[in-house]
Amino acid sequence: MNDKSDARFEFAAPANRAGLASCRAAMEKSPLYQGLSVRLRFAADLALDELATNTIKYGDCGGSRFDFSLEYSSGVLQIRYVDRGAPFDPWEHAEGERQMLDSIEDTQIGGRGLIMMKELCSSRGYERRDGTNVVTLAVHEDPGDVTDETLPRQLLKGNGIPNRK
Amino acid sequence: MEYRIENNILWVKGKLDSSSAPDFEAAIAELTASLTGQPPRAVLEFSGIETLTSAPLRAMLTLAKRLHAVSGGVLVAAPSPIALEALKVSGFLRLKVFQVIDSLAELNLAPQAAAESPPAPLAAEHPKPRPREIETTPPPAPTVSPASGRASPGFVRRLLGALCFWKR
Repeated sequence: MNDKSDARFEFAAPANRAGLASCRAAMEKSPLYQGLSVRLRFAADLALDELATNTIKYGDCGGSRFDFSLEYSSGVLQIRYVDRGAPFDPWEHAEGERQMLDSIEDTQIGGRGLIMMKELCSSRGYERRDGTNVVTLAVHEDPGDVTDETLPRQLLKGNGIPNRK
Repeated sequence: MEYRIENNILWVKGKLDSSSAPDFEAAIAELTASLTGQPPRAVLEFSGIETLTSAPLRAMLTLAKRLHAVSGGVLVAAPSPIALEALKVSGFLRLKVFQVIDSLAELNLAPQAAAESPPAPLAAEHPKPRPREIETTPPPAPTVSPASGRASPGFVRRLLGALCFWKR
């Protein structure tokens, strides 16, 4: 991934199943995705699937579009997702879902995707801006590399909220 | 997503996400209906998994809960790095929802089965049932000792006998 133009992927699609499928297909064909490690590909797959599915199912956004972007630099994949649905902070929701992890019997079926994203990323952010939900996360290629120095200071153009796991 | 089912084992290949989840759920239902042995143990062979998100994990959790309720369980065999990462970050490994084994050989099943009959090609999303030439009782489900995690020698002998008979 030496070419700078290969280090970014952006896509906008209608917030429905077909839109998700087209975004997924475009992402998988992109030079950025093709050059990612297995762990970072998984992070991109997971974030797109979980966030867009959540918007489609519960976002009440009337078929408006979502925006999804990936940016890779120095071993860190930064993911940014924007929808125009009802206000929803996935990280706050994921924290609530973590309470249920005590036994197989008690483990609930739903809400697992947000927990998975939270566990995978090294920093994350959410902001409600101009009627949109802006969700950001950063995933390190090698989780052992996560230090204060390697954490990105700003996750997005605006007010990312770096939050150490 | 492609899959096939044989001897309590579901082989799956490809991406397991929200778009393939309905097919995966159908495969899990097919596996559940075909389970033999008491207590029932299902094996998911995940070496060909390219991604694993929460929607298909839900189907796996439902299966695990159902089998745990009757003292059975779900084994995940040879998970790909992505499948293993997904199981880790989901919290399912810590909870021991699934038992993870490095390969089917740990069941004392794969080497013999592979030698006797090479794996059939994976089915498409809606596989046609394969006609059986000989009506016979399918081999018993792998019985795994909780202490050692290995099948007993008696079981292996019985399984080999069944496979030899089946091939004839």
